[in-house]
Amino acid sequence: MTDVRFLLGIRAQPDDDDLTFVAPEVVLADRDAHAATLSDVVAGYAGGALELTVGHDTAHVEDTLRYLVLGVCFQSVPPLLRGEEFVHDYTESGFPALVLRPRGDLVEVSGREVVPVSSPRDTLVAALLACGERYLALLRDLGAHPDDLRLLTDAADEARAAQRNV
Amino acid sequence: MRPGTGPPRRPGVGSLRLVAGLQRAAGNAAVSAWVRGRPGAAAAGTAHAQRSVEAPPRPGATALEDGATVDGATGADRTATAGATTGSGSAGSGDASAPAGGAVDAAPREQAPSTSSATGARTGAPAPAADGQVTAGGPVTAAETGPAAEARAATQAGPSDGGAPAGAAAATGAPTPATAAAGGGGAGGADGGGGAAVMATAPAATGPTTGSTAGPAAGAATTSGAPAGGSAAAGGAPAGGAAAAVAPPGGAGAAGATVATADQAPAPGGTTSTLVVGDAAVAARLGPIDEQLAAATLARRQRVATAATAQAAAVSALVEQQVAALEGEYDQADARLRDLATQTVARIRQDERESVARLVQGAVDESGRVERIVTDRRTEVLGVANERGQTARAAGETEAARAVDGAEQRAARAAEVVTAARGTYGDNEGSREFVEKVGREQLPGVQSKIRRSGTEAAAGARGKASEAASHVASEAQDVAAELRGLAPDAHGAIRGSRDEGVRAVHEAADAAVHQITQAVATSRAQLAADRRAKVADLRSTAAAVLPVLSDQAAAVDGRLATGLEQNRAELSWLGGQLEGFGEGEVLDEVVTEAATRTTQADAQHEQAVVEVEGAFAQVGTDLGSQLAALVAQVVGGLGQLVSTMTTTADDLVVETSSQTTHAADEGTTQECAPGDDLDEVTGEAVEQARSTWDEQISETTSTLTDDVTGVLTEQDQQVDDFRQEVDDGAREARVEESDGGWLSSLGNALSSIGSFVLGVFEGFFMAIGDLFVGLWNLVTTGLGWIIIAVVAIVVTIAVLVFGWAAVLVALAVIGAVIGLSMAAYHVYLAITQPNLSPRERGRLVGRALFDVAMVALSIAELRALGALAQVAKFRQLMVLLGGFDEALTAVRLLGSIERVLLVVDRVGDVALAMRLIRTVGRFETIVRLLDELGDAGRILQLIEDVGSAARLLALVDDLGGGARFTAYVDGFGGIQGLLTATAGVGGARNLARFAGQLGDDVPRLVQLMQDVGGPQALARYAGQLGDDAARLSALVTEVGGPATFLRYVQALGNDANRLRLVIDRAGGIGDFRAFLAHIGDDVARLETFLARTGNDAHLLMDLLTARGAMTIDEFAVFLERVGGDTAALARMRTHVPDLARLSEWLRLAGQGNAGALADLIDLAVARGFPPERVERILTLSNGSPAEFQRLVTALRRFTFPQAAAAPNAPVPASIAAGRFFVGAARIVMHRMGHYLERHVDTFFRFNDINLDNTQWPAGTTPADVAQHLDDALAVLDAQGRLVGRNLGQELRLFLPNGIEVGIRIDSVGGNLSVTSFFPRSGPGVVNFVRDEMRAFRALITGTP
Repeated sequence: MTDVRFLLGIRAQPDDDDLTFVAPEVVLADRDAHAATLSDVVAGYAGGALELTVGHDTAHVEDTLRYLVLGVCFQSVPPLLRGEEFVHDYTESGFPALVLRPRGDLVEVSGREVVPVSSPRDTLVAALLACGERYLALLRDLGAHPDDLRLLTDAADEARAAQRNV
Repeated sequence: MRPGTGPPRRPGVGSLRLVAGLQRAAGNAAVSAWVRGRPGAAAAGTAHAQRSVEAPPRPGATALEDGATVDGATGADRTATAGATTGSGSAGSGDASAPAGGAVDAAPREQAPSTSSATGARTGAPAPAADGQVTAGGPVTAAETGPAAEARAATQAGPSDGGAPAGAAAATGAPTPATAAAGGGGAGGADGGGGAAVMATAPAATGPTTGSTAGPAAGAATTSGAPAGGSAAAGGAPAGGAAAAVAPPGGAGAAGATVATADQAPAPGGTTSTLVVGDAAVAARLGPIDEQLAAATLARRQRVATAATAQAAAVSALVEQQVAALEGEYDQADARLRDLATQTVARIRQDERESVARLVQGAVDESGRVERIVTDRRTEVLGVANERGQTARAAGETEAARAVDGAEQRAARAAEVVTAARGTYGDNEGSREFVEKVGREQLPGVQSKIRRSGTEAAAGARGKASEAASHVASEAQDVAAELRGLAPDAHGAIRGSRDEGVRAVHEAADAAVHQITQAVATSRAQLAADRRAKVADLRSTAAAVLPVLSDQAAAVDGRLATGLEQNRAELSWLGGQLEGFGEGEVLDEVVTEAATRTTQADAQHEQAVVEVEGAFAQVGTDLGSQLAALVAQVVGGLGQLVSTMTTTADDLVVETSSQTTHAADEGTTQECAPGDDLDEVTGEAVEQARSTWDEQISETTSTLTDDVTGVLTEQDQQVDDFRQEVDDGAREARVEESDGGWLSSLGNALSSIGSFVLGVFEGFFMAIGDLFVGLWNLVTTGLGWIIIAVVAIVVTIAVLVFGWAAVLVALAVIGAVIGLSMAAYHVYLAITQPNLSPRERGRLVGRALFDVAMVALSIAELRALGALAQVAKFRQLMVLLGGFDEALTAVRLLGSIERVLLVVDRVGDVALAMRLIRTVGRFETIVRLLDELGDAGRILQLIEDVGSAARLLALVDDLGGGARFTAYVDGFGGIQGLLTATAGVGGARNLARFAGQLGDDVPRLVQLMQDVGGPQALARYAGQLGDDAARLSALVTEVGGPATFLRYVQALGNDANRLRLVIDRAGGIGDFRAFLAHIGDDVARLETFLARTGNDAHLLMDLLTARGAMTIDEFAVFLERVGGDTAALARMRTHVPDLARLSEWLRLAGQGNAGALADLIDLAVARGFPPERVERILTLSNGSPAEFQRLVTALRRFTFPQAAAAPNAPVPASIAAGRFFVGAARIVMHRMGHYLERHVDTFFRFNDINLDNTQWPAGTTPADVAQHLDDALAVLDAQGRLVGRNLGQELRLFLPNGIEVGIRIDSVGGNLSVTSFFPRSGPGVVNFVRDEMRAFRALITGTP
């Protein structure tokens, strides 16, 4: 079983130094308390994480959520389907964050301080797309500006087209 | 006076002034009846009670008629009682949006099928709004569903459409003023529940004809938003119109609200009058007039209510704004106080740390200075001793050289005597032969004797010089040892001063921290109390204003209603009066007049409303000014408080710094005292030693000079004697054979040198002649005989007294003196007398020659007498020794007959004496040996054992004389044992010195030699101990005997001095043993431990005692990690007493980083964190010194306390100007604050740490970043990369300065923004990974 989900970074306590990553439902359940987080999500500034779970192993990678989803959930799909490696760099360092490397029918996911997982390609691609779609749905729900969404929707369209063409 | 401590302001002061203004405004606005003085006007209210006018309902109108029942368009029943409630606030609230035609009241809401929406609350009347049918007896009032379908109406009770439960809004207790309004139906409500301000102005129209258009009014009446308090207004009552309630601050609309509504306004007839005109035609003409005025009045009442409510809301908002501002100021002041405390404590701790570090460093420096002083003094004293020794030896060498050279010169002069004699007496064969014989036989002996005495003098000079040098060196060793002994006390005193200073610094800092902490805590508590009082003060000020607003609104509203009723009553009266007139001129005139009057009344009403609106605005302005002034006053006070506290903190810091500095200075001064004392004492000791040795060496040098000079003088005498002997001998030989021959030769010579020579001869012979003539004269005269007799008597007496020899010598001397004097006189005359012929001068010279000849004759006579004496002695010696050869050999070896005789006499045995003379060959040596050893037989045996007399004598001398020599021989079991020991220690002098150091106790020396392993070992160990056998002996004894000594010293590389130092540095033998008990009798390890603790025995013992479960091996590792930096160790132990933990920390920090680790721990503590906060850095360092240094250096790049949120500025110029485009869209947004907080160290926020965190070069400013961004965008633009497909993508490029950056442009809210901009690599760019940032964070925010 392969599952991909995104998490939102919040501060469990106002003085917390580090973010706590929670499912979006947690944030949406109390929008007033997480107004700032949601505002950042809409603006695209919010920190977040992706979790790629394959069996009992979970690869957890943190970055600016917008670009994490853009890269890993959408932009990775066409090259993976072409059998090419995809590398997602951290948003503000340029250092590689996550590497998705096709190995036959499998895709190996690895990265610095990331638990490596390996998943069937098609299953992983489907899970990535689904995660990206959920993120898009969240943005729409939060009233993100259409111009802001276009980057993601275009990438999603490309990914879906690639998937269909396989 | 500090803010908040003064007497509270009376809230009523400002309020009373406002109230007065309002009352004036209300008085001016009083509406008088537009028909003044008209009879019946006052009773108008009763005159129209039975009349009603039906008017056709207007579609959509809302029935607002008093007591009317209006069927709505849906036919739903709407039952309400006009005026039943008058905004009492008991009504519920909620979002009462009503669907079409659905006025909401106490009854459950029903959905109207109409497409029109109800106009909100239509309370107070049954509401069949849509069809406008009026079933009640009142005038027809059409309910109208107007365009204000979204109006929210207050319902009287019960839950409403999606709203909060009834009554919730107004009663939720918002802490600030709340205004509630209730319409005729008594429905007051607020939208959205707690605190939301809702005002629903009366939408109802009153009047005899069609109702007002309530829809728009209702729609406009709803306000919302003020979280603190709320207002609600509902209208609709035909009799009352607008309603408003103003609640005091902190109250709810339902709780204690002061209600002043149009409904409450006194109305004619107790409720609401109607136009009662019986004549239909009249009614048709007057009705519109009444209706017009009623509508205008209603509108004005609504304006008043609206203005009142708005002003109340404005007042509330103003108050809350000022409260918020005030709260913000208090928050800011509190934060500043808190920060002030933190910063002040940090400054104090920093100062404390620096002072302690200074003290510790001072102690270390002073200890170092003490060591240097001791070392320098020791070096100096040994150097001086060495110098003086060299001086002495040089003097010895100089004198020795002088002795040898002088002897050689005198030997040469002896040879010159012979050479001169050959010249002098060469013309005489006898003399020549004599001289040649002397040159062959006597001259070598004389020269040998002279040279021997010179050599002996040289040896003596060298020996004495060496002895003096050795003496000085020995004393120097003693002084050096004493100097060494002074160091431990000095170290102890320094440590004591250091500890005292550190304690004083800690006390001062702790007291200051306590003081500032208490002061800030007190101030913050006062601040909190003052804050509550001031907020209450603000709100109470507004609370006093709001009721006045409400009252004045109600007053104006009442007057408007009253005016309307009066006008209506008059119209009714006119209508009554016109009944029956029918249409016509009269009616037209009356109607015209009525219209005019109505217009006038309307104008008065307008004036009244305008005035009261102005008054309301003025209230707001005045209140705003007062509140602002109050806030400004408080802010000023807060600023003063913070300023005062800052000054106090600064003063405290300065005072504490002064105290700690003073303590540190005093401690440092005290620390210096032992060193200064030591410097002085040791300096004096060295000077004293120098002075003493100078005297000794000077004395020695003088003695040497005298000795050599004496010897040389003797040699001079010997040469003179030799010369005399040669002259005498030669002269004697010449005299014996010179009769006749000399005169003939002289005659030959005289003949050849002329008259001068002739004169010389003449003079000479004349002198002879004169001599004889004189003698003749003497014997031929009586006086002469008398003189002869006297002389004879004197001579006789002298001979009797002094002997012939002495008399003859005396006569010879006298004769010689006289003769020479005369000779000199005659030569003088020959030279100096003028007018003398050469012959006469020759005669004078001849006389002088005669005089000299007479002197020579006298001397020759004396020599002849001496030679005869020597011959006699030699003859005696021959007899004594048994032969000429023996005698001659003995005299030749010893130099004189007397010496031989002396030796023979000392030995007492001629044969033994001759053996001794032959064996030794030197008189002085023989005499010295006899003096020292006495027995010639023993001497001869010892010479055989030693090898030579010289060596024996040197041995005897080196050992201190014969007695000491004998003692040594006995002590070492014979001469061979002594010779072996002497060779082992490097010479007899060393042996004697060692024995001297042991109290001249030879057996003790022998024992010590055996104890330490023989003479070589003794010399080595003693040499290591300053060439001091006594110290060696003491050391052997001190450590418990030879076996222990040898074991220890072998463990220390066979170096006794290292053992000595270990014991001394341990604090003495007792402490030494205590240490060994701790560490397992391992003296080498103890030496290492001491070295690594700065030879601070107290510290080492302290550490050993405190090491806990740490094994000795682990302890050794710990000390190795400390690396000798005891100052750092002391600092670290202050905060980390657990040595095992400290050892691990030191391991992680890497070798050589003890000081840096101590600094880091001090930094953590100074920042108010536990020392453990350094562990993250240590873990990352993992034993790498360079890594530790890198991280510590990096840590200091970041601001402490953590930087506040960075400003989102400056705006990059290209962004501000919208200079760059992507497609048609300008790039107009940036995130400067984010760029700074993520990538500039001085702004870095540690709550946003990523896996990688690249940083701009140190020193980068916000302006730099903005400029870099401008540059980056320019580069992208020039490269054609600002295109749509690159949106959202990270673009990499190089800036002109060579730094590679990443930049991302994306749409944010529909605008293009540079969402990311960061350095990737290049000069000065560095990346700190997450673990590193967390390590820094632990020491910046304190997060573990």
